[in-house]
Amino acid sequence: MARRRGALTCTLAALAAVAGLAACDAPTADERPPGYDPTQLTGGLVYRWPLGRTVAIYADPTAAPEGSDIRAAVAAGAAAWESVVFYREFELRLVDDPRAADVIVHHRQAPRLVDVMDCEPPGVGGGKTVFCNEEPEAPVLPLLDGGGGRVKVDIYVDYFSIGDGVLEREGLTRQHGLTVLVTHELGHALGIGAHSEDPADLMAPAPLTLRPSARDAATLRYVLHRAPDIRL
Amino acid sequence: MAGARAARAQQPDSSATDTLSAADSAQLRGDAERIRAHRRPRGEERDTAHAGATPRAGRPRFTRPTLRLFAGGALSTAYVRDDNGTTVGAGIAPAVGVELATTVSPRTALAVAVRTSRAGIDVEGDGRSWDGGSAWQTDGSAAVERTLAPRLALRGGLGFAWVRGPGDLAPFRFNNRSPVRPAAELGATYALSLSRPLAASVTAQAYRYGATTLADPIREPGTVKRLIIGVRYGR
Repeated sequence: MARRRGALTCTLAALAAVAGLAACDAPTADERPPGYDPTQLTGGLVYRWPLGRTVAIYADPTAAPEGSDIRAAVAAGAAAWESVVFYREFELRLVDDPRAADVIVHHRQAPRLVDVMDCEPPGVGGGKTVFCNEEPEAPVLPLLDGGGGRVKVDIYVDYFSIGDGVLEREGLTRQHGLTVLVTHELGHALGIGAHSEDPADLMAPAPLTLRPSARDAATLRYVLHRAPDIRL
Repeated sequence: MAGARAARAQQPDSSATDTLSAADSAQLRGDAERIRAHRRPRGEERDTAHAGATPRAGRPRFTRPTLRLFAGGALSTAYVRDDNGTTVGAGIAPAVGVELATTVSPRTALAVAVRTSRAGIDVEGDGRSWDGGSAWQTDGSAAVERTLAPRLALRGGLGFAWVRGPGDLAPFRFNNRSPVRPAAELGATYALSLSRPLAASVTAQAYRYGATTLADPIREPGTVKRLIIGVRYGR
């Protein structure tokens, strides 16, 4: 009798412990606010790539100024952005064929490989990111050589846009300057449709840092988990 | 004539057999006495030596440890749920393990176990699911096992869970600096055969996870729970 009572106690204790474990909460993370409004330049529209997507980038070396390496700049920029997201929301991969690319990055002096149609915003700068902000999905920018392809974003950068004096003051080489510009434009291509007012941020209008700041990172992470108005 | 010679020839053998039998019997009786004396509980001996002393409960006797092998699979709850709608979880993880067990009483055993498993990591969010790589988990535990019925035993243990995952994915990118977590587990085994040491095994395991560094987005640690099901071979 005593033995049976002991067994019953053991069983009840085990069941209570299992129920207690089952009731505990899972590890949770807070939703965090953006560092700045990510839709300043898009009239409040959120755009981004589908989550979990591998975004293929073609770095076009055409008309490359001497000493520049646009592919290295794109690789560095891609790694910088990949390092700030928590859940592998995207992967940026360099490809050798513009037909396999979602994004083309080229020097300003090089002819575009795609027809940007009427989607190019006005103004000039050290770099520009162009896509068609059509809801609910941005159209493909057709390749000029034969049409087709899958390019949705075209980026140009001006290797000489950052002055020598600025680079010297900041302790940057001209290749560093190119990397800064490419990384900034990749931020736009990933979904940050804004410029930060803080000059220390990579997404400031005249950036001088090689890596996204905490505010840039928070802004991108915020965008990635908003329902997009425009799917890239 | 030949028959009588044969009978005489057999006679000495017959006596020798009887002599040997008698000797064997005496030796066996002696052995039996020694065994009985050896088996007599120590408390009883002390009662004889010190009449009137209170009998002491028998101390646990550790038998020679036996080896047990485990193979099965593990299911886990999420490693993290982000309020932005993202969940990082694990798929079914094949698991193998080994343990050393020693019986301390007819119904109680102690076991020290090590188990390892590898799970594919799934990230979900925005109505989509994508690959997060894979994670290894190695558990170590010390457990007490109590037999409740001829086939059924319950066990409870404490130990650690050592979780290693992709370095670019939360929560692993933050937890890999201190991947060892205290863990608790409860389980049951059901003997599938009484003639062979084969048993079905179910174990519920839990450990706390999250908030290991200042940068860790998991500000509220929670409990990761796992259900490990498989078969165990060994006494």
